[in-house]
Amino acid sequence: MAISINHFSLGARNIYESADRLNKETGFGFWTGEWVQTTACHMFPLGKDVFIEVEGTIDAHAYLAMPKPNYTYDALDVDNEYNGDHWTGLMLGVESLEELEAVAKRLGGDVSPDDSKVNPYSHFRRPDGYTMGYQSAPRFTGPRPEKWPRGLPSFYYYPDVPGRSSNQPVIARPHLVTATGVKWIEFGGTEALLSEWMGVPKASDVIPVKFNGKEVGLWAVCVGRDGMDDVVIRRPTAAASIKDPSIYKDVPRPRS
Amino acid sequence: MPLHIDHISLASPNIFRSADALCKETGLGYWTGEWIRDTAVHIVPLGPPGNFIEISGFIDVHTLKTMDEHKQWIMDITASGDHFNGLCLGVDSMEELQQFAKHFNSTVNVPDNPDPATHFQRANGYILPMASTPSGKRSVWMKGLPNVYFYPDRTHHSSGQPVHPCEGMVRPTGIKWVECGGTEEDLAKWLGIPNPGELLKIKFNGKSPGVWAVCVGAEEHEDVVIRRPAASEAVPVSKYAD
Repeated sequence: MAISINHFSLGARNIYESADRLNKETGFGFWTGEWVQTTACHMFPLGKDVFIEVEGTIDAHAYLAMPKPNYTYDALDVDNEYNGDHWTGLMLGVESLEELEAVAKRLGGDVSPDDSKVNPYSHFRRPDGYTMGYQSAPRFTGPRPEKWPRGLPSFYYYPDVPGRSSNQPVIARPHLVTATGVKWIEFGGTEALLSEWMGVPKASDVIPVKFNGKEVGLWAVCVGRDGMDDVVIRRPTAAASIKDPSIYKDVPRPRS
Repeated sequence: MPLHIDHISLASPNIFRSADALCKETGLGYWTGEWIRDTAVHIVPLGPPGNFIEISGFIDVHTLKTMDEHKQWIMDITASGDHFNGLCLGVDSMEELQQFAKHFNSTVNVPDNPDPATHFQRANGYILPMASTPSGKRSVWMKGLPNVYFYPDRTHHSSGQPVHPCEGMVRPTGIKWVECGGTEEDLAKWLGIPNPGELLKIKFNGKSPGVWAVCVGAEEHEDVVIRRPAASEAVPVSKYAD
């Protein structure tokens, strides 16, 4: 099974402000307009089919109606030097539905259905009408097994690689820098935990990951830049700002 | 160009959903990425001479932690869906804008504040210079009244930026008419000009103040009428009487 880094989710209070600031920090461009239900993303292609989605809730009324406490809101509500930005997800990729089903079975969950054709508004959409048709795993329809803490990566299968968010044109702006791919990522927890979750002997042999032993989740992404030094995008991981994880009763599921 | 309609604001609980729905309803395309503080707009150009609808809404739910009168108004008028919440007129010079400021017994919100946070910004890094009147803490939109704008940089006016392609897109050819509540006498008194209905292509329906419909011409297509309730239907303007 070929496992790779697919994308990263950077939770933001204000995706517009966050994306503007990330551009100024890195020089990387982004594109706008993708959304699903009450969430929208600004997308930063990083090269080699990988991207960052700067993601936030864009429907204030829907937010008020959401069950509380809300894990992501509470993490982003903790002030930091990045206006509350936190890494909220590492997403890995596999290359076939069969591989995704094997991941789901091994971890005791299932695969989110591909109902993008019949239920497009439950999927990420773009202003040009394009609806994303990816599937993810594991989806736990019951309680999440206690063995697996939040912050571990979901697995994705994108049948349409040209349509992937990493491969869309960014909005032109002055001083854009070309990203040349992810060099390494920094992750919390231990290599043993991530390796077991990924079903591999050693995670760092499969993806370029270093471990810092802190709360489980993504902490930093190092990206190559054409003609410039590499840039390290460092934000706290969401779990680091949650005082008592036990109060969050909702079942975390990958989006379908 | 004398006093004219510049743009119309459509308040939305979810600007992504509203823009998608309006595009499907009318075939009018839109562009994305413009924002100011806790609010973003998706822009629907309406054709020459340079008009647009801005679909506006909160994109930062953390802003609800510190409520004020204006934020509460936005929440109240979007609780039951989209509402037209602003008619925005335009003039062609700062001198004309100053004259309106004098008429309103107010001042001008200047276009050259050095703090970028006070301006609309775009995903391409452009910071939009824009002057308007009247100024003041309480927007006249809350009373269903129009304000007046001057854009020093017409090249980058929101009406002239390229839209995302979409299926069944139509090419807008300009505003044909706008339906407003209230009476022409009310608007004439507010603006200090005679016959604003004829000048601004406004019809009056006698309902509560504000915009109720916008009719847009379309190339090789029937006129498009975009009908939404005025904000004053959701929150009466009497709430904001001085």
